[in-house]
Amino acid sequence: MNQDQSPWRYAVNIGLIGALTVVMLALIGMVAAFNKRDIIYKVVTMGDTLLLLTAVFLSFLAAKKAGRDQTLTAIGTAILTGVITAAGIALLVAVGQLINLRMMFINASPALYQILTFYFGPKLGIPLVLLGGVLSGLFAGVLYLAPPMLRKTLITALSSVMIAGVLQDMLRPVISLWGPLAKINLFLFAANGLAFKGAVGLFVLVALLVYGWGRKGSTVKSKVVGLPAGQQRTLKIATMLAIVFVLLVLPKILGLFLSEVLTIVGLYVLLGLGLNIVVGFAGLLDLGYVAFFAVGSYVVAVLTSPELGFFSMGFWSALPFVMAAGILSGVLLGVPVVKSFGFWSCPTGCGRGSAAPRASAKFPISA
Amino acid sequence: MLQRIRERISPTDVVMWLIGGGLMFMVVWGSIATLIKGTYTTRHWIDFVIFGLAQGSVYALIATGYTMVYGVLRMINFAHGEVFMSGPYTAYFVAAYFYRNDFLEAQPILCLGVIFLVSMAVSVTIAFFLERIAYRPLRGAPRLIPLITAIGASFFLQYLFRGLYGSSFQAYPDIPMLEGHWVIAGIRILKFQAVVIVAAVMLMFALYSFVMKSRIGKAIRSVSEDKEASALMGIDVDKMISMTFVVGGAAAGAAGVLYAIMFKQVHFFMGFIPGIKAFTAAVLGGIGNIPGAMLGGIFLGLVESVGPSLFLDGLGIVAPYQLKDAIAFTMLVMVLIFRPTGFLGERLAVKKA
Repeated sequence: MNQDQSPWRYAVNIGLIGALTVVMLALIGMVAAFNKRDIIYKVVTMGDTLLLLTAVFLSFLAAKKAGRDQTLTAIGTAILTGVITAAGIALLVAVGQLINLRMMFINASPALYQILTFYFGPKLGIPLVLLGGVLSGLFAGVLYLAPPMLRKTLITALSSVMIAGVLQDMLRPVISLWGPLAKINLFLFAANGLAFKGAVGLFVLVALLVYGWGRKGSTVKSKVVGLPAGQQRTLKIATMLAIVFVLLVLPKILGLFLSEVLTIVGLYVLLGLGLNIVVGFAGLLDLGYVAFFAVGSYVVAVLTSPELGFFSMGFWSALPFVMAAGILSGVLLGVPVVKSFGFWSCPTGCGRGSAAPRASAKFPISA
Repeated sequence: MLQRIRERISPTDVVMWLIGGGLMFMVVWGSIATLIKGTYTTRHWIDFVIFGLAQGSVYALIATGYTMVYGVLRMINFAHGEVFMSGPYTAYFVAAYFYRNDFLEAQPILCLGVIFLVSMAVSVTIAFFLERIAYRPLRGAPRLIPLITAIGASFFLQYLFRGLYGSSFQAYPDIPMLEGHWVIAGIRILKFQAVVIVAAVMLMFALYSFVMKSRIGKAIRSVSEDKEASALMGIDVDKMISMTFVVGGAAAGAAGVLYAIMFKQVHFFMGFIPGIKAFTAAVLGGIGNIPGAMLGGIFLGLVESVGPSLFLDGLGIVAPYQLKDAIAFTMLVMVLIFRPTGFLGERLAVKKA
């Protein structure tokens, strides 16, 4: 976006983008699917949040374009963006009443229109949607104009309520493992989503914490920076040790499902670190990188298979061999690629990545 | 003497030549064995060639989009396969509407025209916004970044259309006019294949003359030669890059309808394989070169259609037609090893990269 664009023009542009986004979100079925999950029980669903977030975020951008000096313009542009975004939904509902969109868009069901009009039907719903756009625009504008301290507190508290609502299925079992503290669950959660009192409580708690840290945080930080170098190092090592300890204890606390999620996270981190060497340091976009991932898992499967008889080994003793196999395949496949065609390694890597699983499928381990 | 040879030829080269030679030997051996065995008659071969031409001309149309975008931006637009998919998938609903109301039988040519126009319009829109939203903000970023963005955009578009239109295969309605076959000079040719070949050749001709003759085409070519100099000559570079995407999108949309006429179904994932094939075709012909892309596309289509029976049947491989993708991609790798610039490419791809 160029700099000299007027904020109103920008608001209209960004509002159109917002309208397109919300219509797309509705038509690809995300709103209807997310609507099954309440964030606050019987008050706000995840589908509503999705649409609201779009409107608020874009209105915030519009207000930012106007700048903090022009209070009225900032609020005005934010409201304009919000209204245009909401108009997208209103238009979708109106068109949906006239034509059966379902012949083309499979998700344009009556249930979707019900959700989009807050279950009030099109006549009352469309003005309500527009009002919602005005309110979210107003909210974004006020949020932008609020002092930074307040804004930070509000955003953090609201997002923690949202995260608690979205991740309820993960948080609930974890909290229930905490013995006497498990009563938190009863306060925080209702049948589906946060209970209203729980949401308000969480909001207040997080807001107080953030506000308190905001007031005291800088003094704590300056105290740490003021420490002598030796003590700072001890502090760093202590932090690292604490993190390692938490990581080691986590599987005990989190239960089976979340531990598995964390394992997958760890795998991706490891893959990302490896790819960073190829792409980041060597500058080759190696799309076939996952082939080595496949080699590793295949080799470990072969080595730990009981059908190998005497040579069958445990995971840890197989690990060095797996790494050796990965290194070997990397050298074998990588050297010619780099030598012969620099940039073209990317499409060949692409082919290699899809070829490796097929190649290994040709040599099944079971006899 | 030996020393000098050793300096010029690296062990990698030797391995590469060995692989290439081995493959060449297999191809020749397989062809001879097939021809001696004589499973296929002349009519079979003619059918293979006609089908290959039809498929190849569709690849060629898509490949022009890849090659033109590579020409102006020096990037590979991996989302082009999705641009190709979006058109016919949307036009399917128009076609189904016509079919339900019996327009398709009463006015087939008009209906086909409308289907083509809708498909091209959708593809053009998608391609235009793709460039505007995904690629333009990244102008001047390191070349890896637009490439990864393109892959992301490709996934985004695929699953966007999956969400919008559902994940089932949709059967394109039959067009009664294109059923059956003609006999031309003693050769039996299926009507729809003939129409696909003729339409694709006409479109390619139109595209080529647009790029070569029109003012905009001239501007596009000048941008692909040198962006700074074109900007100094008063050419709006951004607009010309958009135009390139528009022209490529139109070709992809038209190719999509031809593809749907040939294979009679659409699906949100249908752009992936033709997209990769067309990319292969563009590389085969020398990327950045429009006649090269067309030639590469037709060549790839022919090899894919004739190759499995010709090369593999004689080697005793069962159901060789399943391996047509393997043949196409092996060819890509071979061309990249032995002639990285493609058939008609004069520019050194490695140097530009």
